[in-house]
Amino acid sequence: VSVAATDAVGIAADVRAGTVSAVEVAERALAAIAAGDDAINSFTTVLGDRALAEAARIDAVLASGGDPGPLAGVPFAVKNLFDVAGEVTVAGSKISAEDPPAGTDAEAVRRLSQAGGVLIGLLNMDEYAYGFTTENAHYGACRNPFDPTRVAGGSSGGSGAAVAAGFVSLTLGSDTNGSVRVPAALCGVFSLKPTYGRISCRGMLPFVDTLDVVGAFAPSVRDLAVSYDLLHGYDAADPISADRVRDAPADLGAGIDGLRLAVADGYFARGGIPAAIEAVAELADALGVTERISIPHAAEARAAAMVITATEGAQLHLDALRTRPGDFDPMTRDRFLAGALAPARAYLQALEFHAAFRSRMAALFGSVDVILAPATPFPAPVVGQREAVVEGKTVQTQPYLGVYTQPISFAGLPVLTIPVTTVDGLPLGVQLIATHFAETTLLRVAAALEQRGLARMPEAVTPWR
Amino acid sequence: VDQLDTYARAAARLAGLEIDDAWWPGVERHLTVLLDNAALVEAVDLPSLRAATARATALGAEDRADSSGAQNGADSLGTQAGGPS
Repeated sequence: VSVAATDAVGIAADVRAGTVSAVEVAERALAAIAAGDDAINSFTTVLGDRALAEAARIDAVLASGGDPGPLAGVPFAVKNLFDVAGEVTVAGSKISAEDPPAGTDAEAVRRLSQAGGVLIGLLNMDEYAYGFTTENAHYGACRNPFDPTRVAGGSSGGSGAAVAAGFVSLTLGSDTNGSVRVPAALCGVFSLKPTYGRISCRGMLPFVDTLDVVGAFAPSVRDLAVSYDLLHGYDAADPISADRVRDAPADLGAGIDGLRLAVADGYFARGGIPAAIEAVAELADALGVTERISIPHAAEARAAAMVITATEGAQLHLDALRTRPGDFDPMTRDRFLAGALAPARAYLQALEFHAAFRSRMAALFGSVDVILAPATPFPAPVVGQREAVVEGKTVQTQPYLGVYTQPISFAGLPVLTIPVTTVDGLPLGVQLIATHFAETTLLRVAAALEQRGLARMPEAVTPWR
Repeated sequence: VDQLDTYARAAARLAGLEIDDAWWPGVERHLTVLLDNAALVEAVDLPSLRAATARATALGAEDRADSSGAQNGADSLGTQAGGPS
């Protein structure tokens, strides 16, 4: 089955043409999840009744000659930290599972539904988005469709796995330190983490207000382009939303002529297995990119991101840390507690550096349009694996997965992650990085790479497809 | 380690956190990592970083003015202005 036949744009075209009904598409998605997700555990809630009702509404609109929107009948799913009307926003936790149901959909969910998307369910994640592997103590580990003994990445692991498994063609996640890019890379799918503030976070349970963004996963670049077009834009009700005019739709056929591309050097050219570094080099060779560029203070940026993450995250959950710490996932509890004990000076210095680093990175893009960098230092680890050896050194698997993503999100830059190769059957991805608010440039470059066959979603072993 | 333990237990008391004895090794391990990261950030020379940004911004403006037909690899600014990473 080709991607074009199963991606969101392809499905919407078929529904609009009457080749298939939205209800039939929803039923297929629900059947695929029922048949296959026991092995993957990407969904924590399947919304069958809502999905079929929404699909029937789409079919009715089409039958009456109306236009249900560019996502007509497209099944999508969201990380379970997005509010969905009538559902409890559990955010991967036991504690928030006791909250009352949400009254309305999160803004991002509302926008996709309004465009004809059919919400199929809610997706597994690390507790409160604090992790890179989605090995959730309460809801179980989300497993990688390419090898279910391995993790899907995190914290939006369900969002990556559900697309890779072919359950749905569009998912939403959140990215604070790499939580969209890591699972996208490990699951071999495309993802777009936009500029900080570009997509409304209203109705998304926060993790770290200074860094959180909404991101999308899909099997094709055109799906990312359509979803970005629907999702981005100022939201006065979201205090971190960027007050900026909307982009025109990306020109996916424009190619890369005239764009200045470079490979991230230094920090980004070491610290991963050879295949992860070579994946970037091979992509650069194929494009004729010879320029190399150093991203200054990348290690310090990662360090500062970790300080801000721990302290802001702990502050957000301080009441629960005081009253019921035993109900946290042990994987997150100890880090939140450490964050709660951090001296204010550490946090304030990290914030001061944050502003300076963000400006430094913006200036860097005066001489380059897109930077290529590895997405992860290695492919998906085995579930439960706590250590890995890289360049002869033992590293902690879980935090180290973010070594290449954290410095970039710390600067608030947009990143499009593309699947480029596999190693021993496991996907590896590359980050395409641009300056703030240059998402359409990233979409243009990714589309050119996809058209040349340099970026594509590998076929996962999914017998229910 | 003793100093860290003394600090951490005092901070926990002040924050109203009751930390189970079994959790302390993990909490202090993560706190050590956090403080190591904070030290790395503190070592950054912010005035130099801001000066590098100003230089790069000026050069970038010149580059943009000169590069209406720029191709890949037209400039190597990032390596000129890079700091430790």
